[in-house]
Amino acid sequence: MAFAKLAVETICNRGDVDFEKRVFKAESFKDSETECIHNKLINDTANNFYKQMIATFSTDDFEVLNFEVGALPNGDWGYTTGHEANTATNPLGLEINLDFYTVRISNLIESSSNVSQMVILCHEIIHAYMYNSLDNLGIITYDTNGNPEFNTTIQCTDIQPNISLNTLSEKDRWIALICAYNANNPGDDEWTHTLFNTANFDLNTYRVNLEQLILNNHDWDNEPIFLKSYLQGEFGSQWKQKASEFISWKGLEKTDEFIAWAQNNNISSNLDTNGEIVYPEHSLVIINLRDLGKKDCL
Amino acid sequence: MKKFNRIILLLVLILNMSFSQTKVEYDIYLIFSSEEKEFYVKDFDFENKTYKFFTFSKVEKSCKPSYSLSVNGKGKVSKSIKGTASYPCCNKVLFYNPTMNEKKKILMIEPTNKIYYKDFMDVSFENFSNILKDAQKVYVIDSSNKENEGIYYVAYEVTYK
Repeated sequence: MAFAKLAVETICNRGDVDFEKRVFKAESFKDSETECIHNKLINDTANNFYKQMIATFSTDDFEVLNFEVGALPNGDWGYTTGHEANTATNPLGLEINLDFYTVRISNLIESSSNVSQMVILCHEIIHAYMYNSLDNLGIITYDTNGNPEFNTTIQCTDIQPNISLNTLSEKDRWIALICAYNANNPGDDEWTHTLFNTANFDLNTYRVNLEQLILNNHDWDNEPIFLKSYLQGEFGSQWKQKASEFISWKGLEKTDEFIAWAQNNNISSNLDTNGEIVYPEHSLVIINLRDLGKKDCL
Repeated sequence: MKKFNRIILLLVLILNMSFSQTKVEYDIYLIFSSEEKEFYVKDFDFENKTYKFFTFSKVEKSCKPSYSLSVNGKGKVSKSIKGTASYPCCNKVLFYNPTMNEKKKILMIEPTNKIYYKDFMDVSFENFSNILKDAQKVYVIDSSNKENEGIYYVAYEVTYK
């Protein structure tokens, strides 16, 4: 009933609802360039990584995924929140929570390249999928702004140091990873991004799956000749693979895994006058893919 | 006569308002050193012309607190460890396109409206971006490359988003 009520509200607000996939589209998302990219990924004949993540929302009656396009602060490209604010009653008379995940894509990205839009859409869906998994396992809840917070009933001290992750259940593995991260990075807010480098549906990490998705689903051959020439000059014959790899790290630059990757690939870095590490060489590739890439999603 | 004076007064006010809202035109000169790694310069040859990408990067720390406290539905205080999908700030790429943009030699003492690396680091990235956005023209100068015994700079006009 709660789903039906939300669906009616969305349609009344000129949005759209995909009842089969339990996906809500706000008016701002409908007919947007980002929706076009979403539809391309969803209508792909292969069971790609994006479709697999979206499918998890359609198999649970109490979870809803909502897309919107709008302003975001600090030049952010996308933002994902989770809420358990919609209480409903099931046929047995028990109170249930309808988890509501919102993926907001920056309106600035609407005018950027197709490949940027694909990356940010997938990046945010990884967050939504991850939040959903962690929420279902009881590891996180959400604060009033929809940001995830570690369930305080879980005691990190229960996790033994140096334990082999392979011996743990899925839930305990997640807990161990987050506890270890928090112990090593107190006050840091990058744990959700660090988890991008943990394994997912298969042996690949989320980040590697994202790289493969971009490589296989983006129309690289029809990029403008100027951009292709630039990428070929940077990366040689492996330009599609390397460009996919570079942009799949977008948004993960603050993680230790990114720093290790940059060092292994001899990507230059500078210290700015605040003593913070910056990667202008990596940024240039990302920004050129965003600004010089093909823009119309046809 | 009284009516005429009122019309004159109204006209003066309208003219005054329209002049006060006229946009000031200005150029900006960004003077950074690639040798000192204050920015990253990448040359790119395409169809017998050399294009240039100038990348400006810094980390701008958020003023947001590291933790937040909230009370859940059972009245229990919990600590947020934050999990946002935001991105580290800040990067800007300025692009010199030889088919569209001007390249000129300029006396070192000539440019007004100079912005140096220290300014870039000291002001907010948003402030920096806005002042470029509103400029009529933006030129980039690599202070590592001086010509004629250090009297001249080479200034590249750039396009930006």
